[in-house]
Amino acid sequence: MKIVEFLRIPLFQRAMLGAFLAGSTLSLLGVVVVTANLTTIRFALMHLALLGGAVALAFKLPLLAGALGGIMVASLILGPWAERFKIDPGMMSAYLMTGSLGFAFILFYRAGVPAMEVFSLFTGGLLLLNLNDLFVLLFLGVVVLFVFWAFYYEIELFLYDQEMAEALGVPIRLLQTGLIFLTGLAIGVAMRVVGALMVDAIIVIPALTALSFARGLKEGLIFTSLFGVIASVGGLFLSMGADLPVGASITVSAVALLAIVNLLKNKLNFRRRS
Amino acid sequence: MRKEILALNKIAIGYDKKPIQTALSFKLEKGEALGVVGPNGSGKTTLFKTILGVIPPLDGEITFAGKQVKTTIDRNWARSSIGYVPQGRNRGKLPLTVEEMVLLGRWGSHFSCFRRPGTDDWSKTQEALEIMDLTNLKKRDCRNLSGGEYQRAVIARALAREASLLLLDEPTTFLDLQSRQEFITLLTDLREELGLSILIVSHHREELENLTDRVLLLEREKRGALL
Repeated sequence: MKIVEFLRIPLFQRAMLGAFLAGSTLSLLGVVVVTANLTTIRFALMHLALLGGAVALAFKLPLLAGALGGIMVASLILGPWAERFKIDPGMMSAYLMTGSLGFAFILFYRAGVPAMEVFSLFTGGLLLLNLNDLFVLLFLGVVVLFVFWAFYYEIELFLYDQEMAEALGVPIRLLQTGLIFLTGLAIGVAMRVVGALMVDAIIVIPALTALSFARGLKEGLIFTSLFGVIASVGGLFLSMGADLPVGASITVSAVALLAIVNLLKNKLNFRRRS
Repeated sequence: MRKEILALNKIAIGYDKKPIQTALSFKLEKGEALGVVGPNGSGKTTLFKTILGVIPPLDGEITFAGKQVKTTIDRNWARSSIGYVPQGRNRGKLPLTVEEMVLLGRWGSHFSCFRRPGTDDWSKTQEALEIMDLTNLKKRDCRNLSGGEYQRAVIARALAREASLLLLDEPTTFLDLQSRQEFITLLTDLREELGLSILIVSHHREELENLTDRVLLLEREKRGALL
């Protein structure tokens, strides 16, 4: 079957749209994760989304709703509660990561969730996206774009130097909580697209690729979005053309892009030096 | 008589209702420079955060340009005329050009959420870059500047804010001897030319002697004393 023929099938059309939306918008939050040292918190969010997904599978609820429920709880714990009850978000992340994974597997075992369903939680289901999933993806994408447009300079200040941002009067606690919450939602939705194990292919790797050469936040965001689309849509094409799993193909495309950009950058730097 | 820019009247500073300094009083006039010295934990940075309105004073009152600072609106208003210069250790992971970094100095005083920077903001940014002789470096990534260049860029950011008071928190800690001397000369010139008021924390006594008119000595759990 040729790729053009695939694209006539509604299932692939939805997958294509989903890949484009996730790659172009959700990836933008990777810039926050990479530059604001939220990597540990992102892991914790991912694991609680996984636990939420496990609860959804065990009680036969929509997977995405379960994942988003888990994210909401995690965002509260790592955001306002961490501030109020003087919890160290780094330490709490460690508890949440291991604890939620343990609970998730106990739930799978006790509820007798079929292995294939558990597997889909880890590897994603871009080809299984329904219209509701696409609406959630579109809504979240619009919210992400709006936040970056409306609070561009506040986010820039927050990512550049939090001490400076605070001195200028940026409400950094509120901004941080909002960004953690939004990142959590993006992780929950990205889990549906590429699976829990490969969320970084959409959330972190495009941003890492772009920030390795971008000269400002604007450039960083534009290239992150571009690399996000190339990795997710390119990965989908790769999976169709070579008959490979979709989530894994997207991940491999993102990693290949990162490697190519870094190689080119090193080559250019080497030429400049010599 | 010179105009009073900042006055602290018997203020207590600290965190979580635990005072680090109590009954601290001093005044700073326009164009005056005051040095702040004291051991670690004596509240130097807390004092700056209190003046900036990041943490509220536990007691006493702060007056800025003749107006008592009480509410959030007052604090935002006072903050819009203050330029803060940190140590310069934290360059972050975000790629940011010098020009963009200097422009950010105008946040909160001339633009903010939903009020984007206009032509005036960009022209003031260029002006500040010119004053600090950074025009040729404006497209350079901040993280790739030398220590001296970076601190000049930070001063440019305070100038772009059109600040009347500069708060400098150990600004020369990470500079070599030559850059330190150049930086202090630059501050002395700016103070004379632009009539800036300066409050500076430093561990280098010779810097304070060259730049400041008076020195405030902070000691742990004691009242600050003007030397």
